[in-house]
Parts: sequence; structure tokens; C-alpha cells
Amino acid sequence: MPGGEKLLEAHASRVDKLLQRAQDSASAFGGVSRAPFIDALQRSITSRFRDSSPARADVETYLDSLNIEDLALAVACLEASEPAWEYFISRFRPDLYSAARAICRHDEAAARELADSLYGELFGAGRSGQQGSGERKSLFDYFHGRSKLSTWLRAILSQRHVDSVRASRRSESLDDEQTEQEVSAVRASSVGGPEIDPDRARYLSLLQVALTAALAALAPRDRLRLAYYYVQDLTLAQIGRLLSEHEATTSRHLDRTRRELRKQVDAALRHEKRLSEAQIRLCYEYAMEEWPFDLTRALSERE
Amino acid sequence: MADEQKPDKAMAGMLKRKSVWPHASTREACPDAAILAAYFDHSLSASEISQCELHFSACLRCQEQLAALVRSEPTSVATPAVGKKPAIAWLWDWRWMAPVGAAVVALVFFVSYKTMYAPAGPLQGGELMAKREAPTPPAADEPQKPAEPAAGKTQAAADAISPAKSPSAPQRVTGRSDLDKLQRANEAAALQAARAVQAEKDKGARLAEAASGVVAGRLMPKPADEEKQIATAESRLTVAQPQAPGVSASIQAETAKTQDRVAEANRAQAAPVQGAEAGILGAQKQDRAIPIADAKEPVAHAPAGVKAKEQGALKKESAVGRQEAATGSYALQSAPRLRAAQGELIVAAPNSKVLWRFGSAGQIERSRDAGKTWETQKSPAQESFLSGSASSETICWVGGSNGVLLRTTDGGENWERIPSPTNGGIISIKATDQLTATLITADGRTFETRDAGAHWRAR
Repeated sequence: MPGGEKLLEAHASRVDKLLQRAQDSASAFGGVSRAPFIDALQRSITSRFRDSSPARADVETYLDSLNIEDLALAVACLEASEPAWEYFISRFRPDLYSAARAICRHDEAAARELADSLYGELFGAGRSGQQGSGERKSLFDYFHGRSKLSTWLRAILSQRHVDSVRASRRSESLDDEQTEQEVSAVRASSVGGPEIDPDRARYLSLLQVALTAALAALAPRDRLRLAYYYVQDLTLAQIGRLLSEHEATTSRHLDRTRRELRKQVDAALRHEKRLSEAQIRLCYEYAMEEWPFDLTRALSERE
Repeated sequence: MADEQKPDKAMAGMLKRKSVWPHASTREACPDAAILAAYFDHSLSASEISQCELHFSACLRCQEQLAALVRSEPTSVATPAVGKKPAIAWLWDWRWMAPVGAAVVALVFFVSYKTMYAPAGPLQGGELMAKREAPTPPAADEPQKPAEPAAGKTQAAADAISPAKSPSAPQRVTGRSDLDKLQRANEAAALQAARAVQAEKDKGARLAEAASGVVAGRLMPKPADEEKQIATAESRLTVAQPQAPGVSASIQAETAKTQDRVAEANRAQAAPVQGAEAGILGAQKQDRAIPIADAKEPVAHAPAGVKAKEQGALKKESAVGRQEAATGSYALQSAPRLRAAQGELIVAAPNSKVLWRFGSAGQIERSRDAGKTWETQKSPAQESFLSGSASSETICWVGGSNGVLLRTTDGGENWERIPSPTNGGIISIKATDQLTATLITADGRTFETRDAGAHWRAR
């Protein structure tokens, strides 16, 4: 990627227009300096076209798509402008706490801790705030204006929260859940019982293999939809929001994906595993009773 | 296959099983928060979205981040998630509004079609008209309301048939309910008329006995209420029909003449009927005209002692009838069944100046100028005609005693006998076209044909 400065030199008029827009919007918080703003644009272009040499039109399109007003506020906060910080806090603080509460499932203490830690990082006092040279590094350096500032802040909150939960799951035992060993023991006992069909374990194993293969063959978007629905427990509306489709469309796609999976699993069992219709029926019956299958793992382990 | 459309419960149940432990993500670097936020805001390019979704579909961490992100959206906190509609939004959902709207439109078209093209019956809205003549100021010294109970009853009977009593100018009956009412009133009137005719036959027989002295000293005077009942029934038989332009004046003239003749007949104290054939036929044979406006028809002749009172009442009724006609109050006029003087029957073609006049011995005459001039037509019958109906200037049906039924389809140049469903009198007939007609016989039965009399169906 050629230097961002060269790119901006080639788009001086466009940059001037963007700066004018930024100045107009920044009047509410004391204005924004030209040099830091151009630096922010350069970082944004470098981040976007990291591995390519974009055409002039692509750069202009990209520049036009930026959220200039939010970028101007981020630049002003990065410059430690007091009016900008006051404006930022008055405008985003309530939403930030509200989002933190939603992310922490209305755990008020955890939500406040999550949001406050973010403020520190935004100011450059947190874990990313100190660089090796001792220079303060603010999170605002990573805001490139490609999204709204509020969305970016919530994305950071989500990342912090998810990483925190995943770390805690790795280190803590889950009292209310069975351990993996216990689950394995249950599976073994249920599969190996004397009164159970001796082919039961085999049927279930064949079904797992066929279903895993069918899941792997799905389109990424279909796999993502299944993951959102069955693993993340999102509602149809939320899935539709993430995938830019109506919830009815999401529901229809889920139905189609399930039918497709069933069709492929049936075909695999029938043709590859040479099972009869009665045996296939038994596979599903056993699966409905006890089903040692981890959809999360199946969806995560993409071949 | 139908099964393919059903929700796959087995597959859904199998997919619901998931692990509670975090799994390792893909080895690829997860997108940073800026990319995640831009993906969420749909501001990435198409290729970037594809790359992101490819990663997300296999990365549990990113899936969880995105799930947390969408849960933290202000709209999903305060209100349902994006794409979720308010509670009443389903009211405006095109998925059910479209078929319901289409059904409503289809229903409206169906009802409109049925109303416009309803099958022709004996009494059609398009051919029925209850006419209220233009009101004229009444004479100062004449009362507005008839004083006699019988006249009042006649007015009530007329009102029962009249579909509307508004003082506006001619009103066309188009509603189905009005048509049904008129239909029922017509059938009830026909039945009542048949009973009245039968009663008159019995009475005529008794009078004949009295005249011949067989039952001298046992004279049975005609009860006044029975007379009123018969008169009411006859009044109901006069059903409003559309009048041809220019015909109204001639009909009014005929009406006035008829009323004058009634008065003369009353004064003349007509002789008792010599046979059992009384009633309408008797009245025609005795050249007794029937007033139209008040729809009173003296159907029998009582002995002189009884007649004196009856004549007094009849005079009053006739006077009231003339008064009503003069003052423009309700007067149900039946152009096709107009009974003119000398037992004649006048039938008017709708919306035309063409009239037919049927004599009491089978004579047929036609006028093309609303009755100014008449031309005789060749008649195949000698019976007296009781009712007729013209559906156009060229098509006319006429029925009479002994079940005689004639039809012309060429304006009367040729009259042909139509097979009749009865040997008795045909007291009412309604022609829809050259093939379809409905008639009521003297014994109260109603028949309909749709093939010019080849087949009759009792209704």
C-alpha cells in the first residue's frame, strides 16, 4: 500500500471538502485541527487498502463513505480537547452504559465496570493506553470512521466482554453444568446399556458423521445463520439485523437449511453408509432420545 | 413432497444440542472492532462482507461478539430488535392484507354483478316503478284523508305495495329487498284475489239462487267487511309498471273516464249477476269499469236492499279515488294491466308510445301514438283478456279466461297461442322477453316458462 499521504495528495480537493464537513460538525465541541484530521484519514485509508493499490475512484468512494462527523469527534478527543471530551461524554455516556448493561445481561456492577474501563482506554490510560515508549495511546487511534462511533464503542465493549467471559470459562468450573467427563460418562452408560440396541452407538456415530459433513458443506451464510440461531440463541429479528435480511427471510432460510441438512444426511446414510430406511429411521429415533452431538464444535471446526 | 414443507423436528432437535464450553476459534486473526462495527453498520464492501462471514461462520468468538453487539443495540434494549414490528404492525402486513383485499374486491364485484344482472323474475326492479305524481294543491274544501274505513284500508294496501313514500318524483325500485317485498306482496295479493274470486263464485251462486226464488226468504246479504277484503285484494293486484313517455296523459284520461263510468254504474244499480261466474270476469262482462286510482273493483252485485249501503260507500270511495288522483297522492298505476272502459285491457310497451288494447271478446288493437289512433290486429282468440305484459315494442304476452295465452314477437302483426299451464283464468302475467314469462292463475298458482311456453314450472 503506498503511503496514505500520497493518496491524500491526489485527493486534495476531496480532503478539503471532508475537512470542511468536519469543521462544520466540530463547531459543537470546539473544532478540529487540520493536521490530526488528515492523519486520521491517512490511517483510515491505510487500514482499508492495506494490501492493495486502490483506484482513484475507490479511494474517493471510500472517503465519501466515512462517518466524518464521528471521525472529527474522535480526532478532537484524541487531541485531548476538553470541550470534545465533554461533548463525547454527554452524548455517548448514557448509551454506553445502556449497551454495557445489555451486554452483561443487566448485571449492573459488571456493566459499570466494563464501561468505565473503556473510558480509561479511550483516554489512553488503560491496557492499550501505554506504549513501550511511554507515549499515551488512545483507543480513538483505532477508530477509522468506517462505522458510527457508537457502534464502534459497542463493538469494543462486546469484544471486552466476550474475551472476559471466555477467559473465565476456561479457568473456572461450571457448577450448574455437567463437566465434559460427566457428559462422556453419561453417554457411555446410555449407549452401552444392556437393554439397548447393540447397533445404537453405531447408528448415532454414523449420524454424527453425516451431519457434521452436511454442516461443513453448507454455505458460510447458512452456517452463520444456524450458529446465530442454535448456538447464540439470537432471535430471528436479531439474526436478520446482522445478516441484513428480514426476519421472515431468516426463518425461511433456516427452514430451507434444515431440510437441506436432512436431505444430505439421509442421502449419506442411504448411499454411503448403506443403511436401509428402517435403519435410518432408527438413527433419528435414537438421536431424539440421546444425542451426543456438539453443534458448536461442528460449526466451529470448518474443514 | 409435502413432507419437505413441514418443519423438520428431528433435525431441529438435533441442532439444538450445543456445547457450553468455548471452543478454539479458527487460526485466522479475528477482525478488529472497527471492522466488526463496520460489518454491523453494513458499511463494508461486498468482498469484505464475504470474507467476514466466511470467518464468522467458523469463529465462535466473533459470533459471540456479534451476538453481544446486536443485543446491545439501543433498539434491541428499549424495543424489539431491528426488523421486529410493533404489536399492531401485523395489521398492515401485506402478506395477509393482499389476499383479504383481493377477496373483498372480488366480493364487491360479485355483489355488483349479481345486482346488475339478476335473473329476470315476475317482478323486476328495473320494471317496477311506484309512481307518485307531482303534488298539486288540494281543493280547500276537500279533505286530505279518506273518511271511509274502506278507503283507508285501500290506501293502506296501496302503501303496503308502495316501496317508498317519499314525496319525490317517480322512484325506481332497484333494491333486492324492495323487489322481494313486492314479490311477496304480489303473490299474497294473487292468492287473496283467488280466494276472493272463489268467494264471489259462491256468493254468485247464492245470489242466483235468491234471484230464482229457490231460496226465497233466505237472502244472504253481502257482508261489508267481505266486500272490503275483496276490494283490498283487487287493489293489490294493480302493480306499478314503467310507463311509456306520453302514455301517462292518456292513462290519466282513461282513468277519469273509468271513474265517471263507475259513478254512472253505481247510479244505475246494476242488475244481479245471473250466473256463478262473478268477480272480475263478471265485472268485465257487465261492462263495469274498475277505478284505477283507488283500485276499487265492485266484484258482485248484491240485492237492492244491501246494495243501497254499498253503493253509498262505493260512491265515497270513488270520490276519494278521484280526489287522490287529483291531489297527486299515492296512486299505483298499472300501465300493462290498465283496465279501460268497456272491460278493455290496455298494455303499454315500456319506454314507448306503443299500446295494445284488448277487448272482452278477443279483440286486439294497437296504437303507436300513445292511444291517439288505434289499428286492429288479427286475434286468434275469442276469450276475454285479463292481463298482459309487454317487454318491448314488439314483444307482448296476454292472458285471459279459459287459460288463453297469446304472444306476439313482431309488434302484433302475428299473435300466436302459447301452450298454457292452466284452463282457468290468467289474472297476472309478466313477460321478460319473447321466451320468458311468469303468470299467476286465478286459483293462485304461479308458473314460469323460459322456452315460450313449451315447458312451465310451478313456483
